[in-house]
Amino acid sequence: MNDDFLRDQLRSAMDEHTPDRTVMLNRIAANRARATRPRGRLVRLAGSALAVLIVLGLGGVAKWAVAGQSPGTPAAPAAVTAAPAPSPSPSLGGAVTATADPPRPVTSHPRSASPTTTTPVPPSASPVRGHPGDTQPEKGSLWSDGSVTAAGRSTITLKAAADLTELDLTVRLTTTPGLTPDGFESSAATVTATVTKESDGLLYHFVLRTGATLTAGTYTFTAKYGGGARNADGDTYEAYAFSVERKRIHVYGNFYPNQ
Amino acid sequence: MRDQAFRTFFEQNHVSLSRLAFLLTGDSGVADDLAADALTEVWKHWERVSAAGDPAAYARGIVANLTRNWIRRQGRARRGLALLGRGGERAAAPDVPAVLDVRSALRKLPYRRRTCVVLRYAFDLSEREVAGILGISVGAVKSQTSRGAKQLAELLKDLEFDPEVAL
Repeated sequence: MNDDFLRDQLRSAMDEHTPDRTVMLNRIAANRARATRPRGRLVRLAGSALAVLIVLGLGGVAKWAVAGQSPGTPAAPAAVTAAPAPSPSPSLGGAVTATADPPRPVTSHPRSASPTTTTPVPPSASPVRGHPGDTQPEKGSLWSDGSVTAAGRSTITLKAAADLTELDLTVRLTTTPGLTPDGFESSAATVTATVTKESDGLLYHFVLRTGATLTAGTYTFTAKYGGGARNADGDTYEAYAFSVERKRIHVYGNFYPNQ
Repeated sequence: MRDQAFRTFFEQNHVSLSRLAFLLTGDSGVADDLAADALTEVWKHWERVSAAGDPAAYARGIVANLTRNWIRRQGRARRGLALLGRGGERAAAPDVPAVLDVRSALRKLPYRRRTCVVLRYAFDLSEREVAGILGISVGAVKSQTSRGAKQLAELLKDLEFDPEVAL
């Protein structure tokens, strides 16, 4: 009865709005035009880098000129102009910096789950640290580990030797074909999660409720997803915690099997 | 190919996506924009999204996210105005006719509850579908929906029993 009433009310409220198809199509077209022109930004960036370079260079020359051609000074402008010289390459190659990531370990451990494809997932710039070669699974009273515990389940285990008053854990799954979020599991009732879709992956964000305390112990937090077997090489996690010893703790890692 | 498929998707879904944004924001001026932005995301990731099986669910999830962000921004802007002493009219308004219609009642629900109630009742989706869209567990959908429905029914009680207003 009550349900029907709500349903009717909501439906009729919904029907009050008649979308303007043309407005929507125009906005999509405008969005698309903006999205397909990333090159323009890169060129502008390179342009400003060049401008900075020229200004610094001219400054150097001017300084050298003012210094009055004393035989000792030519070295100075060289130093001034040399410094900014390498700057255009990183700024031009902004999109390329991902390749600078350290190569993954070649030792092939059998993965605990999912017969993965051999195509390497390009490491992408992500808000979560923990890429191979950049891990810190243990810090102070907190120990962490990430593992793919079953198909569609990536689990973070946290062992806290001291009570935690704050915990903020982010698990990042890079996009693989068919990857869809399927909720989460948390062994601590006071820790709940949200899942957000980024353009290149899924972010599972586990947070300890404000004011709650996570007593010392071992906890597991599982990101669940659909899409079948996938390559977890690009996945990472990162946690910030605050312990009762008033220590801020930061751990991060990935889902590679432990050595 | 992709444009053709996306076009079909647009025709089939733009009305319901915009109405979803409308119910979640209560603002018809912004609903079309939010839905169009969500559709742009769908277009950007079309291969993956259509391969995943349910582009409509994906699009609804994006609408829910974009809407939440928009509401947050509105909240921040309003607080900013209040700090400058501009938000006066809002506070001064008498709060007796607090609920005039379903839209303003919906706006009183916390966002997660509101989303669950709207998707379950207005869009007739199953708990499982809603859980997939919002990326939360089925249990969470259950509890959020029942709390939300209760709160909404409470807010709308006067409408229900007063046939004059219900008309």
